[in-house]
Amino acid sequence: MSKKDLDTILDVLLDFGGRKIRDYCAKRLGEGTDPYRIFEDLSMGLEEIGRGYENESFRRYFTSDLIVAGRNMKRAIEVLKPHFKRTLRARGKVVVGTVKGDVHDIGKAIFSIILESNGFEVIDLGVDVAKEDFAAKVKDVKPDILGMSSLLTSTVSYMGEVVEELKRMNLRDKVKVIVGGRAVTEDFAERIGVDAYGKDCIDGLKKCLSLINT
Amino acid sequence: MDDAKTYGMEQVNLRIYIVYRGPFGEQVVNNLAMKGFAEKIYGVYELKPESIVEAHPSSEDIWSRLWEDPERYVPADLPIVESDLLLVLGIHPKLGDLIPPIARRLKVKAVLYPIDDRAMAPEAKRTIQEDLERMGVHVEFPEPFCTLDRSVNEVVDEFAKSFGRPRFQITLDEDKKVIRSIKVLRDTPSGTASAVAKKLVGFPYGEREALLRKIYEEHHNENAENYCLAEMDPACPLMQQAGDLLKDAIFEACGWPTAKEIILKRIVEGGEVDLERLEETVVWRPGDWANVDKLCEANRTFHLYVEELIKEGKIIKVDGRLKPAPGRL
Repeated sequence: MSKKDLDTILDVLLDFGGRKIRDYCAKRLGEGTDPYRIFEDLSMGLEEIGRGYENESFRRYFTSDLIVAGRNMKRAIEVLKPHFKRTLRARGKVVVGTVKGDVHDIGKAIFSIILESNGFEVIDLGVDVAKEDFAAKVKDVKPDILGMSSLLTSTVSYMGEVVEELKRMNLRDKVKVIVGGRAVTEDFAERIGVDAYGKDCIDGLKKCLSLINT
Repeated sequence: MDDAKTYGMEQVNLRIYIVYRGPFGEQVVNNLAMKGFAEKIYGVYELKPESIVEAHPSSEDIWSRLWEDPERYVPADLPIVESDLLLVLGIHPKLGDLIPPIARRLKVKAVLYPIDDRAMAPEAKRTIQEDLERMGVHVEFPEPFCTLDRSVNEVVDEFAKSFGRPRFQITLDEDKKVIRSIKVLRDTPSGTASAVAKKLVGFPYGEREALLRKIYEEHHNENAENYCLAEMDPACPLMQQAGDLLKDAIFEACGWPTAKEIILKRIVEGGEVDLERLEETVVWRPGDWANVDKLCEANRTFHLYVEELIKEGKIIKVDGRLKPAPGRL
C-alpha cells in the first residue's frame, strides 16, 4: 500500500465525526472494489494505529485514537457487510462475546467479520456478557468454538470465571475456547486453560481454523 | 446555559485559541462550536509531530533539541491572533515545550491544558508551568477536563461557567417515575454530559440499578453519540472518574444523595473512619455499575471528593483517618 493510500485510510479512521469513513467506503464500492479488499485495507490502517500506540520509544497514537478508529471500523462494517458474499458451507460455528464489565466490541466485531468471510457461522452475544450467558449459549447452540474478548485489564480475569463456569456445567470438553483483545496475553491464556490465544484478528482466524481441524 | 452565567461576575471577554491534535481535540472543538462558543474561537491549529519534523528536515534528533530552543520550532504557519485563552487539546507530549512561546506570541492571559490520557501529559509539565507563570500567564491542567470547576483566574473561570464539571436542572415525573426533562446548565467540554442527558429523558428512575447502568453505559460506550475518550486503564481511570462525576451531577439535580454527600455522612456518623477502609466500601469492582450499595467506579473520584471535603473545611485527615472537622458538625 502506498504512503498516500495509508495516509488516506488513517485520516478516515481517525475522523471523530464519522462521515469520512462512510464516504470512503461508498466511493470505493462505487469504483467496483471488492468489499473484502476495502475491509483488509482498513484493517491495515487499524494495525498501523495499533503499532503507533504500542511504540514505546515514540508513541504516535493514544487511547482516543484507538477508540475512534475502532468506532469508524464498525461504521465501515455496517456499510460493507451487505456486500459481503456468504460462502455456502459453514466450516464451523463460533459464539463470540465481550466479557462482563467491558462494553467495547470493536475487536470482536472485526473478528466476527473475518470469521464469517472465511466460512464460519458466528453467533454474537454482544458486550458485557455474564459467564452464565456464555455457558447457556454454548449449551444451547453447541458451537465448535467459544471466543471471548476483553479490552480492559480490569475485566480480563473474568475470562477465567467463564472457563470455570463451563467446567461446572460440564461443557468445557464440548467446546474449544479462544481468547483475544488488547488486555489479553498468551501467558494469561495459558494460565486460565483455554485452547488458543489470538494476538490479533488474523491470528485468531488461523487459530480457529486450526481448532476446527483438531 | 443562562443560569450557569449568574455567578455574580461581570462578563469577561473570551477569545479562545485552540491548539489540538487528533480525535480528542476534534471532539472538544466541535462541541464548543456547536454549543454557543463558535464566535469565541479565534483560532484553531492542528499541531502534529510530523509537521515539526517535516519543517526541520536537517535537524537531527529533534526531540532532544526542541526543549532547548522551543521558540525555533514553533510552526511558521501558526496564525497569530491575539487571544485571551489558549486551549491545548491532546497534542503530543513532546510538543508541550512549544506552548509557552505560542502563548507569548498570542498574548494570552491563561492556558488550559487538560489531561485526559496520561500518555498525553506534557513531558516537562513543571517547566511549562514555571515558564508560563514567569510570563504572567495562568495555567491549569485539569485531569480529566470535566473536573474543571471554578477558577481564581477570571479567563478560565469564564470558560468554566459553560464547560467543565457537568451541572443539570432536572424535573421528575413522580407519578410515572420517569425523568421528565433535563436542562444542561454546564456541559462537559467533550459534550458527553449533554449527549447522555438526551438519552435519559423519559427514562424510569424507580429502579436505581437500571438508571446507574444506563448512565455509565451511555457515557463509556463508543457506540454512543458523544462518548468519553479519556483513558480507561484501571491504573488511571479517568474515563471512569468522568462517569462518576456525571452520575453525581444527575443525582444532585434529581435531589438524591451524591457520593460526596454519602461519604461525608459516613464520616460524621462514624466519628472517625479509616481512609482505606472507607475507600473499599465506596469504590465498586470494575464494571459493576449497577451496584447501588457502592458510590464510585474510580478510586480517583473518591479521593477527589475527600480532598474537596477537606478544602471545604468539613472534614480533616489525620494519620490516614478521616474525622469531622472540629466545631463544624
